[in-house]
Amino acid sequence: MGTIINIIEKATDGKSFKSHKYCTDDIALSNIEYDKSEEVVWKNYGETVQHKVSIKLQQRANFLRDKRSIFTYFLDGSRHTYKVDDISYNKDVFPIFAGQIGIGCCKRIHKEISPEQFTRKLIIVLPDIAYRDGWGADNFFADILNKININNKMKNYFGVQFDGILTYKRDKDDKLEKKGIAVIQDYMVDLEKVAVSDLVAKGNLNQDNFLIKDGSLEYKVVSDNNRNLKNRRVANYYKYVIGVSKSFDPTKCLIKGGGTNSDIIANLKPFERTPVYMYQSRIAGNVYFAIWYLRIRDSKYTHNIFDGIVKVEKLVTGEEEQEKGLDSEMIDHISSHLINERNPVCYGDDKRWANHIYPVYLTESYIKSKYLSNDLFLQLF
Amino acid sequence: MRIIGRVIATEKAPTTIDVFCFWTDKNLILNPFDVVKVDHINDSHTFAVIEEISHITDSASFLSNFISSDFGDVNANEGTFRIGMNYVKANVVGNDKGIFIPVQSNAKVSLATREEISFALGLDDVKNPLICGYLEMYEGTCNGEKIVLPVNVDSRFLIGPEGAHLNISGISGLAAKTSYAMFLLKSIQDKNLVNETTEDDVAFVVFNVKGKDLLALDEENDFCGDENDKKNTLAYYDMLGLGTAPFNQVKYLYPYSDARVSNTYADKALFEKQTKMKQAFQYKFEYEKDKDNIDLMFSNIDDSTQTMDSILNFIMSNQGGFGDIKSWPSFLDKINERCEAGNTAVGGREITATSWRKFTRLIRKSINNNKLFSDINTTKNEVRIADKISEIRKNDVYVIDIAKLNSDMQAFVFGNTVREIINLQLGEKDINLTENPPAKIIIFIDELNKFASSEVPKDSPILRQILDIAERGRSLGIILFGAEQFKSAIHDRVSGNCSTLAYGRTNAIELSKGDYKYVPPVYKNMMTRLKQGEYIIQNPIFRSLLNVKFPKPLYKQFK
Repeated sequence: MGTIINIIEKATDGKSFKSHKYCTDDIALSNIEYDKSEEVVWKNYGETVQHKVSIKLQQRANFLRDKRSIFTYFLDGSRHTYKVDDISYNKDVFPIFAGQIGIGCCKRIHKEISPEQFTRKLIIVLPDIAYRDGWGADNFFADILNKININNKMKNYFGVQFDGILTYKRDKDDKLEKKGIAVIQDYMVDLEKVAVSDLVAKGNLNQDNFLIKDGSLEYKVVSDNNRNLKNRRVANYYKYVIGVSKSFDPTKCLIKGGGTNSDIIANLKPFERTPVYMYQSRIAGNVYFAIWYLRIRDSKYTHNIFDGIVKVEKLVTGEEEQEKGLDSEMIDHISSHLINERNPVCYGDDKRWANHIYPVYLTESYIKSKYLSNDLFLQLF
Repeated sequence: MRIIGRVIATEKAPTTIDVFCFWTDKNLILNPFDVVKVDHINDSHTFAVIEEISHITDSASFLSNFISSDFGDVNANEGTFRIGMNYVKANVVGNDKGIFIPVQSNAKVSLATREEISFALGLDDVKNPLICGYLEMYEGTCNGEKIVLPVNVDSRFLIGPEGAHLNISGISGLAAKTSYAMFLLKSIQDKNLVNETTEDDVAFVVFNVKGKDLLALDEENDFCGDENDKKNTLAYYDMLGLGTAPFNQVKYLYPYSDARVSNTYADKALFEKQTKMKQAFQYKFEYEKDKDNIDLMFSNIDDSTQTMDSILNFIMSNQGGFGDIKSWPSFLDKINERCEAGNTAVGGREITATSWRKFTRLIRKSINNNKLFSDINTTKNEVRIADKISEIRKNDVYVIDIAKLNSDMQAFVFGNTVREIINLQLGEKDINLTENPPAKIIIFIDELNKFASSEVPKDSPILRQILDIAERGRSLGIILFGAEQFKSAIHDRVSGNCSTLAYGRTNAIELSKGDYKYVPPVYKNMMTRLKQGEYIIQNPIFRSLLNVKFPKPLYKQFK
């Protein structure tokens, strides 16, 4: 049995089952779950010009081709989750989870990518019953964390430190595995938000230096947290941030008046975008997002009609914007620059090459390169 | 020194005792043969020589790049440069604490200092140092601040007794073979002039085989009036610790020419000037003293039935009245007699008239009407090569001009000289005992392939002599500096016995030959691009091949 489980077993008065340890996923990208589960209903036009048809941007993109891109920063977060053991408390058995979380941000200057910031966190997720005294759980788990980190084997042999012990609720409303992983996911999302606020605090983001965040910006509201998007100050951080998603489910995008907009998206010609729609997100705390789709690559070489299309999200921050929509001129400008991000491609390295944006792909590769190997990580337990 | 990268050790490309790879910035300029230093265990440092530099990106295939240009649009631009790096393959040459386990993953790789380079290449502790050029390192790496380092070879491994002989190969004109050989000879002569007491006194016999190339070794190079060029060249000689004067004690042996026929490319003024300085002589071959060398005229004749051999034996053993003759015309008359029918059985041995006729035909071609085959006139600076060889002394440079002679005569003169040198070193010659002959004689011959090619008949007397020098010369004190276009054409036993090999610029066909199998592909490619004055040197004391340069010659150049 590994050192960590021993310490946890002893400190929480549980009984370890020494069960099979495994990685519960490959690297999953943030918020994909939300995209899959949530139905999106387009409420209103989300831009100042009310386009009826898709907007052609090739000419504008060509004009901007040799100009400096407005996208300077690229952010991605990913996590590995593991089921590391089963432990029994009061004759009930609960799984223990652990996660490696990496948040990386890369910067582009003169077309060269360099790392801007990187955070790796290792966390353990226990069932809430591990602490049975009601209040003061934080101190209790901090104490266990300390015991783990000062353990000689961990400190001197592996040379790794854990950053937190979190808990999942043992209520029977969902599978325990899903709930445990959701805790890790939320932790990661929070780290992403911290990364954005760090960039803003440094004054790095402005109209000439946007941040592309891989995946959706639709961050779930976390209670007791001052980094939720519904917080006006936090929302302002996202003025120069767009979320670009490689995958989306077009059948879930319902348009006003009934039906889905998958046909509109599928019929996009190369370098065209859909009109922008405004969408109010329940899970993000009823904040508004402007969403549009953009075809960056011709579909004739791809497997699927939706390959080559990216979903772009931008948080609607001001009241005026909520009312009138985002400035169409700005949307065209962002979209045109995004079209120019189509080259180079990661064809051959990633099956999602047609939807991938190369600097984001590099950021993702950078984070992956920093992970402990699954075998080594599981060996810690 | 500056850190330039880190070691890579992967499952597919592990580091080994001999080789490792490291990554560097894609814009960092490094060159093959540059030395790098790697941090290793126990605070030691491993040194390695760069062999190959590759650039890679994360592009999975050619197709990926094609797609990245909008499926073949040549004007398509990329928003971000592909992530790319250079990775360098380096050959380990040593460790300062003698640790030879492979360098470890992610170890820091840095440029080396001048002293470290010297240590790494084994140049810091050369005994009996003899300058063989200089090397330039990190050209373009550190804002143009390259390291220039004189390269010394242990003279005991170049001119004996530990190892001997040098072979220089390279394309004519582009490789500057003669210039390099002369640079080395100059270096040896300088060393001997400075160290009067050295026991290894050396003399030089060089053959001029091309135009007037070596016919003014003691005259200064005028650098075509280019003062800058002259200044730079002299600065290099200063840096190397060599003198800036051309050769000393030079004597020129020209083939005898009369008013009608000139056997040399040297112009009259040059010859007269050298004669006045008592430096120029004209050589001839006298029947009485040189007839024993006529076998050398048959060095390129295939004599499988040994008929020519038996005739030569017959003549040299003074049978049939050949011992009573005093001159070459009489000799020709005598052999003509032999060609007549009925003169077959003499002295109990049967040589057919047909064989005699063949012999006559071959020998007449060289001797008949050739002024070189006549008696010498001692009042006119006419000499026998054999006699001059007997007079050779320490630091003497004999230039024997054979440039204008036909190839049979060139072989004859070369063979004759070599034979005399062997006899001198074997102590079989009558010499003036007031001064000892030099302990070593270095022979330099360009176009060595004419005499020691792998296609020369096995029983060629010249080949036999050259093999003798290659194999025994080290102990006899006869050192051969040979040069040729293609090393692969040289007899294996000759090139195999050379302790030092200098490769100048050559071509791809030559490099595809088996002789170059051990040379890494990048060095091979470099050999096709070497500049004039650049050589890749192999010598037992160097830990790897070295890319050395040498300055322009100090002696007069004829264009």
